[in-house]
Formats: sequence, C-alpha cells, structure tokens
Amino acid sequence: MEKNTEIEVSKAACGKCGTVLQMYLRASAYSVVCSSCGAIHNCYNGEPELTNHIVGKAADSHISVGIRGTLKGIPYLVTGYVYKKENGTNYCWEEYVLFNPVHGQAYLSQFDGHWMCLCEMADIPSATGLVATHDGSTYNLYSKYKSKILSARGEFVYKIDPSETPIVEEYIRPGYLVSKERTKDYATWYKGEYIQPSVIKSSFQLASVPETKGVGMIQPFLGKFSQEGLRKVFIFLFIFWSLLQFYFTFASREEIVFEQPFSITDSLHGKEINSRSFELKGGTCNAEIQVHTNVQNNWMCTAVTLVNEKTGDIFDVGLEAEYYYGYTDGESWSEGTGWVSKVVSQVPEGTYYMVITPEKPTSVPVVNITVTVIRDVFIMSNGLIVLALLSIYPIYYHFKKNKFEKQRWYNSDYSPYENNDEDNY
Amino acid sequence: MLSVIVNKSVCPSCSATHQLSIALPLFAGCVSCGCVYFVDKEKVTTKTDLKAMPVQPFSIISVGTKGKYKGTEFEVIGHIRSIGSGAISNEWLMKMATGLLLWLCECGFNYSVFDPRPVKLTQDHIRHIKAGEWMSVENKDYTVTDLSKQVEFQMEGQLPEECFNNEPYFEYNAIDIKDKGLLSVCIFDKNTIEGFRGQSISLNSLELSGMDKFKSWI
Repeated sequence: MEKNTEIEVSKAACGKCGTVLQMYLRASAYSVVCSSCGAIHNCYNGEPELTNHIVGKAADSHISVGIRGTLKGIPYLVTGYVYKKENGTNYCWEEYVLFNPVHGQAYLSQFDGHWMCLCEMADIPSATGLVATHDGSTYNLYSKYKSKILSARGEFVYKIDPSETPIVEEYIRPGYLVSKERTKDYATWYKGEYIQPSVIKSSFQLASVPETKGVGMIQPFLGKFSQEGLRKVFIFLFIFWSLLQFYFTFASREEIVFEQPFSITDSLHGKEINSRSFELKGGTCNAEIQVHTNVQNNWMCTAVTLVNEKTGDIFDVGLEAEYYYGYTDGESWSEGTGWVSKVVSQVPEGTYYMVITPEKPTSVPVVNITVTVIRDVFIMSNGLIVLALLSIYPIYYHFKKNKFEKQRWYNSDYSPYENNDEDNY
Repeated sequence: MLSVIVNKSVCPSCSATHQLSIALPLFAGCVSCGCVYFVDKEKVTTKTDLKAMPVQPFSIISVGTKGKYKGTEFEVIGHIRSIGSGAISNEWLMKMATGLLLWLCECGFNYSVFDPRPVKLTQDHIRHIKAGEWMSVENKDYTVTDLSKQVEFQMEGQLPEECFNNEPYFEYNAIDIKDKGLLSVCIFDKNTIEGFRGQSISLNSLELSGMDKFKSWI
C-alpha cells in the first residue's frame, strides 16, 4: 500500500512517548492521537500539545491512515481511525475518517465485514417514536445505544474525548441509514449508505477485507438489485403474459366441425360405434371432443378414438360424465355435470372419423349423447402453467427476502419480527 | 468591480503598509509579521497580543480569495478562526461587489453563508436548551445541533471593530427542519445575545479563485 506523495506530511514527536506523529491536516485538525501510546494532543495551533486524555493503543486497522482512495467518485485521504464499542456489550466496530478539502469529511464504518459510508447531514430528519423521515423516505429504528472509544490514531477535526459516551440512534432503510449521535453538547445526524466490501477493497487497493458475517444492518437484499427494479420486471412479465393470453383468445378459431347425436341402448353398451367422417383443417392444432349426455343421478362413460382415415393415426380419449342431485336436510345439492370434454393436442389436418365405445349403467334403458368436435380451441391451462412458472421466482424471492430480513433484525431490540430466534443465525 | 474605500494603515510592529477595504475603526492582521492591530477612527494603530494564525494546508479560502455568491462577485477581506470547546470554525468576511458584507463559515469542512445583521434575542429564547432540543425564534422552530464555547480567537485580514471578539463566549448552532435555515446564537453576556441566520452551501457553487490548486480533489 503506497501513500500518496502529493500530500505534504508534517512530523512531530508525541509529547508522551516520542513516537513520530504524522500530520496531514495539521492546524485544520483539532486532535491528533499517537498511534503508539494513544496520547491525545490538541493541534489546532499547528503544533501538537499533549492533553491529559489518552485512549487505548490502536490495533492494526484494515485501511492505513494516510492512504488515498476514491469512493462514490470522490477522492479521499484517510486521516483518522477509531475503534469503538457499544457500552455494556461486546459489539465493536471500526470507523475511518475520510477527508476531502472540497467535499468535506466522510466516515467509513466496518462491522462484521459489512461497510457503510456516512456523511454529516446538512439538515436533520424528523424522528418520532420508532420512525425517522427524511426527504420523503422512512427509516425504522434499529438500535439505540451508548458508544465508547476504545482506541484511535490519526487526526480529527473535532475534539477526541474518550470519556464521552454519546447516545447513538440508528434508523435504517435497507441500503441506507440515518443516525443521530448525541451528547450534552451536540446532536449530529449522519446519513449512511451500504458499500460492498469488494468496492472498499478496490477503492483503497487493499490486499484483503474482512469476511462478512451474517446480514449487515443496512445490507440491501440481493446486493445490487433493487426491489423496485425486480417489481418492474414482474409487472412487465405479467402485462406481457396478459397480452399474450388476450391474443390467443382472439386468434383461436373455435370452429364446430362435427356434431352427431347417439342413443345408447343396452344393445350398444360396450360396443364400438363409428361416426360419420369429418374434415379437420388449418394445419396441426388442437381439437376438443365434447360429449353431452342426459344422465340424471347417474353416470355415462365413453371411450372415443379419433381415427385419421388416410394415415390410420389414432388419438384416444376417455370421457366420463356423472351428474347427481338431491335434497337433504332441507337443502338442495348437486354434484358433477351431464357433459364432459377433453382437448387433444397436435392433431394434423385431414379426414377423420370417431370410434365411440359407450358404457352406461344397466339400470337406465337409454342414454342420449351428443358428440361434438371443436377445432382450434383456446386452452386456459397453458396460460396458467406459464403464470405458475412466472410466479415461482416471486414466491421464492418473497420467502428468501423474509428470511434475510429476519436475519437483519436478529440483533435489534426493535425487530418487527415476532419469532426472531431461528437456529441458523 | 468591487467597491473599495481607498485607505491605508501602517503596521505598528513592522511598519508594513496595508490598504484598507472597510470603514474605520477596524482590526487588521499584518501580512508581513502576522501581528494583529487596531486602527481607530483617527487612523491611530494599537498592537494586540493575538497570536499569528497557523498554516492550514487544506484551506481553499484565504484573504484575497475571490468568488461568486448567488451571482454576485465577492472578495474575502477578513478571516476569524475560532477554536471552540469541541471543534474549530473558520469565518471569512466576504465583501460583495454591492458593498454588502456576508460571512462564509466552515466547521468540520461543512460550509454556510451567514448574514451579519443580528437578531436580538433574550435569555428566554435559550433558557434550559440542550443539544437536540428546539428553540423558537421569529416564529420559526430551530433544533439545536451543538453548543460550544470559544476558547481561542485568531484573525487575519481586516474586520470591523464590532466583529472582533477574543473573549470566551457561548455559541448555539441550530437548524430549521422545514426550510433547512441555520441559526447561530452567540451569547456574549447575559444581556447580549444575538442570533445570525444562514444557509448551508456547497463550496463548488462559489466559483472560488483558490479552487484550481485543489482540482485533484474535485
């Protein structure tokens, strides 16, 4: 990791241990902290003056102070590093102070391998109860705690006071956050944005970044894909599907090409009856065979074979109609219908006849049936299958997102999920 | 062109001559020796014991910097550097081409422009106010973002006498959530409480003459 040579570094000795303090901001900084002993110096007059305050010695940071990197198109110099913890817990995180003389300061925060970039807000959100609103967006309270500085190094434009334990309130909208840091002397709002670890790695030319653990507080679901973008894709697909259905409904000819009544007596029961011949036109497409019966409180079963007179190709279907009705316990009821149909797909054009093999109950002397063939019908089921296939991903997305959100809120005292203690966290 | 009152003063410490841009009485910083002196109405100069301002390598603005604010040209003629109890703030006096004076302020590298005409306030406006709470001034509700105390004062260039204050005083900074207007309340003593109204600005919008040196940071 090479340090940028354009920036002039001034050096001075730490007033406590004598270690060289490297200063980039010099008098523009309020405090400079020794990387060796943690002694805090005031440096607003250009030269470091030792104070009575001291912080812990900073452990190795992932990004070195003095490194330059470009984030969100803005070149930054890393001027400070702070290691903080939530008071009363073991949660610790890193904060890097990024400096640009034109665009001002930004802060990079890293916890469990998840990074976010924060900037001080020029205005302040409106916060009431568990919600904060800013620029028309709503943020939900995720955490409220006191933070404490464990260690630090580098320069800071504000006074570093390790005895301070500011109250921090964090409100999130996946991908973004607004947070308030408050002491008796200041109440500062920051706006943060999730930064992919790979972006941090390339921006600061790091050899490695810490591995991510779990779901980050503001980590967006599906990384770069926005929920709004996915929603638009599915709306487009649904409209496309609807238009396609509309087209096929109107494009289907639904032409009755054959209709013949038969009276099925005991002598025809189980016997083969040949129909008259009929033409199926229009290339290869489907044909619907309908059988209408007059059965009442009974059944009628018919095997129909469609036979191509020229090629001998056959298409078999079995059709069973049953219709029952009655009056029980003061209520009328009915079940089934007296007619039945089946669609035969991919029937080539040509001259056909049908072999009908009816079966009826012996208790009924005669059953009248009418066999109808309709060429090129619209099949709703095909459309429903497409719709079902299109729905698989949204349903999968919904469940995956739900699980992701539960993981996100697992560490929060303000989780909107009731059962937040699944085993796999 | 900027309108300038042609006038000159001589540094009581090193005898360097300075052209004055504002009406007397004023405080001036000597560009040769760094000392700060007072020039009264009769052009009599008196040396003060203020320390010279230290070098700030990343400061884009300095005395003599020119720019445009809301379409009107200005030149920076004075600079106050106030060390507070928790942060440093810089205030540059902008002399507009119209003759109007405005303050360009910076704290934590966030910039704003303030009107120097004060709103007179009383203790009732600020009584028991803490950071994060709101105060009402001229029918506007401001949320207090920080409270600080000046612990050190430095200056360079020229300042009207009434802008020079090297005594400790308290300052409240506040913001109006609705129109994002800023209010800086200075408590000089229990009877002298003044509010100054301002607006946040982007440094890039000022077309500053000193920006060329910082091209690689834009």
